[in-house]
Amino acid sequence: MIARCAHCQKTFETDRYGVQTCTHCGQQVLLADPSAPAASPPRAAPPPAAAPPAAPPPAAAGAPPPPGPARGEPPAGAPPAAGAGWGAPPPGGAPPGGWGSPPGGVPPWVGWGPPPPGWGGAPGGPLPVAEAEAPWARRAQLGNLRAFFETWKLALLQPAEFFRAVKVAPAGPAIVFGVVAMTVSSWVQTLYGALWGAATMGYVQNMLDRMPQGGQLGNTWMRQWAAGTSAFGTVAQLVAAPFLAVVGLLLWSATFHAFLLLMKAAPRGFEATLTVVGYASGSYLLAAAPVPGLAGVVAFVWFLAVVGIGLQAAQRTTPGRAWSATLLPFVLVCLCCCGSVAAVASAFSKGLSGLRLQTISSPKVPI
Amino acid sequence: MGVAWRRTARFGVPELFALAGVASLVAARFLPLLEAGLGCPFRALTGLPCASCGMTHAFVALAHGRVVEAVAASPAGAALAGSAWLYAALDLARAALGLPWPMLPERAWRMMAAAGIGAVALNWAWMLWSARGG
Repeated sequence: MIARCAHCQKTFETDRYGVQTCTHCGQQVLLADPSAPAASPPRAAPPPAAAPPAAPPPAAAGAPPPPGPARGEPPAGAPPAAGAGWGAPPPGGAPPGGWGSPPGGVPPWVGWGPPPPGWGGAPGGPLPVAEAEAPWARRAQLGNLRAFFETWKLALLQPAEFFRAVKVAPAGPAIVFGVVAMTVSSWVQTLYGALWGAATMGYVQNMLDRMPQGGQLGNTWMRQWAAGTSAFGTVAQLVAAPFLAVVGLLLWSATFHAFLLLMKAAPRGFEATLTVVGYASGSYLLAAAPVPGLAGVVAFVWFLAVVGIGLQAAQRTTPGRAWSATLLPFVLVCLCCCGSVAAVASAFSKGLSGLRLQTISSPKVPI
Repeated sequence: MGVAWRRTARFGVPELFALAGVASLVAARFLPLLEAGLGCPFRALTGLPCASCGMTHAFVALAHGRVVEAVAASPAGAALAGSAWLYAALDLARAALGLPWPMLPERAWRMMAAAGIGAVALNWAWMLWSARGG
């Protein structure tokens, strides 16, 4: 019989049902047995540990392959669909959203891009979306590099679509992704920092000299850390990078989630926030570009943008709440800074006016 | 406010936080963090302490059993260190024994988030007041 791969949409010959490998793209596809009962489990059924990739029903030998993308069938390039409309459900449970079309409803859209025209959905309401694993979560099948860069592209260039559809539990793949991106970025920065240490040292020293209390940092291990001239500092940075990445990831997630909780905008829990921050941390790879200062700023701004969009999509909340949770920590810090600086300036001006009064009274002193 | 207990995987996100707590204890106790000369860029730029200034001192002092010194360096830092290490011990013991995890209602998490943000803000106000010689 001839079957069509759900991943590359090409056909291949096979003589059995069940999970097998596509001869064209190497992906695992599931050929459901048409003689199996085709009952559609209820929507609320618990998800399986790993949703098997969907495959079209096998066609009879010699029969033409099924037509292209249509309602209930994702177009080429979509991730392994959680049974979005491909024939009978396999045994062992249903994915989130159930297999095939829900009774009287629209099948959930499973894909990283927007649904194709004519997909449907409730009139005036949001389109139903099923969850799918990120390519990084399927790195065993895709290969580490390919899975990483596919996920990186999706998370950074299509954050709304990606975080709306990505599975948020377990958050392990997202954490590993974020740690890998931050660690690689840190390693690259450390290595070229060590290579260009002398030039950076002069730059750092110049900056420190301009700061009010820059002398505090003038001759410390921190300066060497920043300049990367100490062999110990370089090795310490290389070793500490993954641990600092994990801690940074947890702290960022906890901070954003605390503000989401305050705004009652975290219906999907901490793992959704952690997933967003983990995949958004891919933006730190941009900081590895050899453009001192600018690359880091661009990476951080991109990170915040992806987190804002991602939290809205993953937590199913409003843009206002998501962006508030993303930016409020920084706004509060800025307000506190402005308040502190104003207080110090006020104290300073009081001191100055006292000094002026003393100066005015000084002519009493005989010359 | 009811607490439901649920069995979870042996190693999940709570255990990751617990391991981070253990790592902070090990680093504060055994690494020469204070001798490393870590400076605060915010302080260098503005002359004022940042919200997390004094936390390294607080962690190191508490890891060496000097509670008063830890609280003087940063009250929130001392509280964070103490609660992080207590949490780490409890959670790792829970995971090792296979005990269930307490599922707190969202209201409890919200109250804890508000308390945490408030504590950080109060701590910073205290640090700024102290820095001005208050």
